[in-house]
Amino acid sequence: MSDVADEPVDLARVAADDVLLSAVARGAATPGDDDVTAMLLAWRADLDEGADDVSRNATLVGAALADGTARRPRRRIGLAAAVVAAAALATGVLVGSDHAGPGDPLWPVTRVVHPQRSEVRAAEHAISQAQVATAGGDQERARRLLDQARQHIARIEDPAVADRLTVDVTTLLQTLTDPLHLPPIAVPGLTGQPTAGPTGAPPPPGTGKSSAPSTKPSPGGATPTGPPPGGGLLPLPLPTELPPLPTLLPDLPLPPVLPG
Amino acid sequence: MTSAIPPELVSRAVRRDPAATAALLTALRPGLVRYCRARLGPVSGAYATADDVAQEVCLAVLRALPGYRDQGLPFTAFAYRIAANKVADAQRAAVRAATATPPDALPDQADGTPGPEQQALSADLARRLSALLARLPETQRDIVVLRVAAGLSADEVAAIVGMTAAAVRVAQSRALARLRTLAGESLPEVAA
Repeated sequence: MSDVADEPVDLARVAADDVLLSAVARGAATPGDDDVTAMLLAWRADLDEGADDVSRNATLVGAALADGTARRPRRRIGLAAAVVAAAALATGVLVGSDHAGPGDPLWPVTRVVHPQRSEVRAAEHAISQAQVATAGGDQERARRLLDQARQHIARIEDPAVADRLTVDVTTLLQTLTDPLHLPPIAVPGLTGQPTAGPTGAPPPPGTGKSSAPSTKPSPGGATPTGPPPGGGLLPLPLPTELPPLPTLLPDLPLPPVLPG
Repeated sequence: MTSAIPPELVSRAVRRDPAATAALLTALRPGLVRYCRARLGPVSGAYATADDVAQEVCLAVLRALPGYRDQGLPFTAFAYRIAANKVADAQRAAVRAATATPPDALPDQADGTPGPEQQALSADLARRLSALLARLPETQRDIVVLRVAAGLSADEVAAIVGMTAAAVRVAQSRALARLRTLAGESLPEVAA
């Protein structure tokens, strides 16, 4: 048997072997003619046999959550959330946590396990809450929420997503500072008067809002620094009915045009 | 290959966040189980012993978490060093216990129970690979086990074995070449 250590390094082979081993580890390699690949795949698959032991995983999760030293977690996720997390994790599957949004019991788990997704979701949630606040005339709350949204956006790594959300925030801010500012697009029902809603159904004068529950007699809002009530606000509907906002950048990166 | 464990998850677990700790263990455990199974092999056709060791590793990681400090290495370097120590302990214990009976040179043979042909073929291939792995130099064998069984990246393996990622890729390539050579040389097993 030749001493392989003396052979020169074939970089192409090293790269190919690296790809092969990663593929075998995922169970994604095709054996082809290579006996060794077939054997590696079988060996790797054998290591999975009966390995998904729910009870052992549950024991560990229980140990993690019941650890006496975990007295006061910095993030007070609450006992209920911890129990739900334990039940979900004990099955080896994070049930529903990747869909959880702020306010769902599994949100604390989502924040930890899917940090990027949760930043996007948190930003979107803050923006939609800001829209509700704006529609309700609560400018202060809207600005706070938009600040929160910007903090979440700052942590988003995907530039396309971050840009899209930033445009939403910027447009809302423009609405707050200049309530008469309207997006430069033609929307049915929009006549330029602030009381005409984008949905085409102008709210009755004196209410000035479409969705936010409020018992204030003053229809336009509460902040003294805000625009005149009743007529000054653009009554923004809930996000699903929002008119398309002008985008400065395309939502998705354009595919590169490859030569030849 | 398993995706790398996010450092933020680790830091929250170190700070005793229960959900983060549970999530971290859930992410680590499958690779650790496969690693212990690969290193220790089956006993009497089952992986109960290896799985017990893997459970000990997980509990040891859990206990050691509060004292963990990020020193720029992947968290798996920490976990798999604990695993290597536990495996070594188990191997020493097995050697001590095996004084009366001759140690198996090869991993267990499957029971004579007939199974589907595909299953028998696959078990046969797995056994053959185990036998070939045992003939590799220790470092090459460790690297193959960490890359393929545990599913770690070349960078993570490098942190565990104390080499550069490039050196790991060269070593694993040489391991594959040697496995192919050995496979070509070994006599085919006689079908039972």
